[in-house]
Amino acid sequence: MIFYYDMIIVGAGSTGSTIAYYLANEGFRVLVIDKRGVAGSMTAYSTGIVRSFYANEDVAKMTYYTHNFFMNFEKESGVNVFTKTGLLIIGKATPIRNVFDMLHGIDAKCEVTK
Amino acid sequence: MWSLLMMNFAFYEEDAGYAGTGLYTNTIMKELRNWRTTFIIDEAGPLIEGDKIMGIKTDKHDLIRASKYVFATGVWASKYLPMLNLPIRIIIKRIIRVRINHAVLDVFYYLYNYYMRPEGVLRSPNEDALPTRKYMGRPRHL
Repeated sequence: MIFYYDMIIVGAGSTGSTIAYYLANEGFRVLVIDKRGVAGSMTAYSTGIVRSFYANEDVAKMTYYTHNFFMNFEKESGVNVFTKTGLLIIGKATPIRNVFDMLHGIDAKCEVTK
Repeated sequence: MWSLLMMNFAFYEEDAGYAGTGLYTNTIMKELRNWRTTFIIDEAGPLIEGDKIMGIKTDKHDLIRASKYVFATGVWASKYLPMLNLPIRIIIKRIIRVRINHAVLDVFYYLYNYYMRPEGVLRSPNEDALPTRKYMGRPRHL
């Protein structure tokens, strides 16, 4: 017997489940398959650190989106999965200032001080 | 000492934090039950003919087909990529072996070589490299 779906996602970790979430939202018929169950592998061991502080602009844009996603996740799901702690980075002025300027350009909420 | 003196600038991001990755993933998958999404626990391998994926072979559910396939296998990508014959290479930069006590769920921040628990326990595989005290809180079972 052969089964048919619009999309098959191999992997039920944080990435696979999130892809399934967006595809299902678009109306696709999705199958998720994983040998170890939901979050049964490295997802469970991830630190789950959520921040916008990344030096690469493409990565920073993605993480900024992710950051807002987690901040608003409780409103959509009714489950709070995010704990706000704040992030402090201490370092040399130039590289920190460069990252700050880039993050400021994508509207990430951050500040610098001497 | 000089390099420490050069660290004279601070960046602060108020909204940063951490997500419970297991809780998040389970919440999403639970939500997906209400939609047109199926979840199965099974071994999955691509059935490839030529340069096309014809379906997913499983141990318990026969052959499953779809219009599109997504491989979100994380660290297991090294197992799938050779089968898919894609022009993507996995470059292993560093292998870290960690002994895990499954009674306590540890998380690992590889960038700085730390085990890290958001609840406050911080450990390092190389204890000498740890610049702060070993334990910053009590572990708890999740």
